[in-house]
Amino acid sequence: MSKLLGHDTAIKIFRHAEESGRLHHAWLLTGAKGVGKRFFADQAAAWLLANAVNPDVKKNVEPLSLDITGHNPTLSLIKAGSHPDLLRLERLFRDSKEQERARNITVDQVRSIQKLFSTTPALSFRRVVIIDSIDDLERSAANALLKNLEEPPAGTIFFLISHAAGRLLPTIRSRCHLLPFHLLEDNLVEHILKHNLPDISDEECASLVKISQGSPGYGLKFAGLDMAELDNAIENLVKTGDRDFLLRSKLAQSLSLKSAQSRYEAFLERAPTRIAAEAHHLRGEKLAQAIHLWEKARQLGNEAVSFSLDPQATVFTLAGFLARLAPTHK
Amino acid sequence: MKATIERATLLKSLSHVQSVVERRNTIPILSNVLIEAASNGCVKLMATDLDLQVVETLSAEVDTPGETTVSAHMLFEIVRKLPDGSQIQLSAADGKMLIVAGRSRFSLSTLPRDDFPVINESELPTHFALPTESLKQIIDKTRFAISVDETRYYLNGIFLHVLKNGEGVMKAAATDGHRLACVTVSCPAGAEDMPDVIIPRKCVVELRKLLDECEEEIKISLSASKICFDLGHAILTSKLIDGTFPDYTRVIPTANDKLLKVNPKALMQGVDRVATIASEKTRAVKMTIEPGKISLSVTSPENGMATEEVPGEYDADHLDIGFNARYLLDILGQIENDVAEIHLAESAAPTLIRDSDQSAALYVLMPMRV
Repeated sequence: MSKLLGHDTAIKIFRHAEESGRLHHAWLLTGAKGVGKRFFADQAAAWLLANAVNPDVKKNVEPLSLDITGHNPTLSLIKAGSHPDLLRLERLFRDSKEQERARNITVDQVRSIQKLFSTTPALSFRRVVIIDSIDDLERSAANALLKNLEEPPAGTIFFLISHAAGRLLPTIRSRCHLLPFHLLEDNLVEHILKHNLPDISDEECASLVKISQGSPGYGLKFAGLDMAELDNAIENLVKTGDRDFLLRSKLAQSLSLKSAQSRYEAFLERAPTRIAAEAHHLRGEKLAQAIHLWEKARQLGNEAVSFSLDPQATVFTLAGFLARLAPTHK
Repeated sequence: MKATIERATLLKSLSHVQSVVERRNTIPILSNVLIEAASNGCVKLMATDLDLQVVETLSAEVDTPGETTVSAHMLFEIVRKLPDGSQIQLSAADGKMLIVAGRSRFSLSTLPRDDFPVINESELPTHFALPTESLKQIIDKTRFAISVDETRYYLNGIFLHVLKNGEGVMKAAATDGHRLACVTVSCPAGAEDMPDVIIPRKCVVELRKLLDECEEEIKISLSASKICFDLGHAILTSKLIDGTFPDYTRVIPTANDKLLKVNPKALMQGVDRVATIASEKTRAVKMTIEPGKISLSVTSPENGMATEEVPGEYDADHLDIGFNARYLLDILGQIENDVAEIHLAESAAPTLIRDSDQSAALYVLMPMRV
């Protein structure tokens, strides 16, 4: 297992709570997508379950870390998904399409928590529930969770991952101990990217660091898509304004190929982000225009895949939005 | 690992083990059986559904000790289809298990042993032994009353406890809120200070399947969170239900003064016949009890009506009372004597049913408004 970097404060708070013997039963891990919340939840769960079986595990671990080193039976079980006292809820894969996940965590999944709680724990006194993410709960599922979240059986710990804690039901938020995860420094992001992608070129890495904006997990999503080139194309559009429509036609053509589907999806995410970044430098009427463009671009980007819009036309339109940011554009 | 086992032995053990494995499993390792071959000629087969674990021990010729896991249903099907009397050789290496018997060869993919969750059965503080007959009686006479309502999960099992007042009795009870079954047996040595436990339904069902082939005594060990049944050839370990069983003794009526004595078979047949008319939803049967006879009747607005008279011994005041036909049949089916004692109070009060005042089992049935 690799190491969780950049979240020493969170680890410190958690370990301090655990050692003081007053561990809160529900932890709400909040922060941007890709900063390491899930990694933390997995490590903390393994940490709790392994220590409950064998308190000596703790002795071999540094004070500011949750890394369990060496061979440990709890880790093998968690990895195989067969730990009897750990439940992980995430959006299920749809039956028909292997790669696609359902839109929500359903109320039936949440009710499976009750099944875990209705029998005694198997391997120690601890039970851990990870919900990744709590934002994906459908309304009824969120309400079904409340009862279990309020008074779980003794020794049970919840880790709720949230990318947008502000949108949560206040009734859920108020039952949890908030553990914020901050964006990482660029050099740390670079380190993590290089650790996960040993073969990456410096140029590609720099481009991914820029995309990550502090969330290495977000950047990793775009790995291997030659983002450096895509970003170059975007920069060119923004700089030159593409008066003769050459750049955007070329981009639209290259991204509309079936094999370029992932790059196309990356572009759909990148274009609105780039407009937003540009808007930071603008004032007055230009700013208003950029915000207007951003709204349109974001809507188009969100709808393109689910409405199966024609990729070539979509890229052409989005590239048009980007081009209108150019200072030369009237 | 390399071991040779006789087909019949392996098939019998596998059939026990594979019934614990859930048919539909999203976690691959849980559909597997763990095979452990020890150098002393013992082979252990282990399966789990995370709530319940069964370990079967059988003797074999072990060439190389070792352990591996393979799909339980697959192995069971293969062994079932092999000819009777064949010697089956199992050998595992490099992520594959080779099964050779006669001219058949199978190679199954395996999963690492470390992924297999094993509940440790050795550290349970309370130990006692119960005669197999007592355990069978406890299960047979109570399990029909186990609730299937998941919201009241603490009723989804048999409650086993020892009375703490020094009477030396162990009681087992199950209820779903409409009916209650309770069996009393004498408290075995070692169980005096046992914690109260609720044994989950799946454990009860699997245990009962294994009991018919068992020796005279079952060794039971338990803690507040686990129970383990040592049946000699097999060890069954289960988690318990994490809840508090309601104080059921308060619903067992003690002052029901109207005694009806009736032949359970005759009453069952009568109830079964008239219940044909009853609507699927309520299944209510009305009993009009007078000295010397019971009139059973069902009136259904859609289907019509049915009546039947059953002879019975009764000398108290006239009484009308209604019961759910299925619940009444379940209870009457448990009565072994030729006479069932039905203790009644009034038409809205719980009714006590038993063989006699000496019998180990008693049943309480809530009436229905008719």
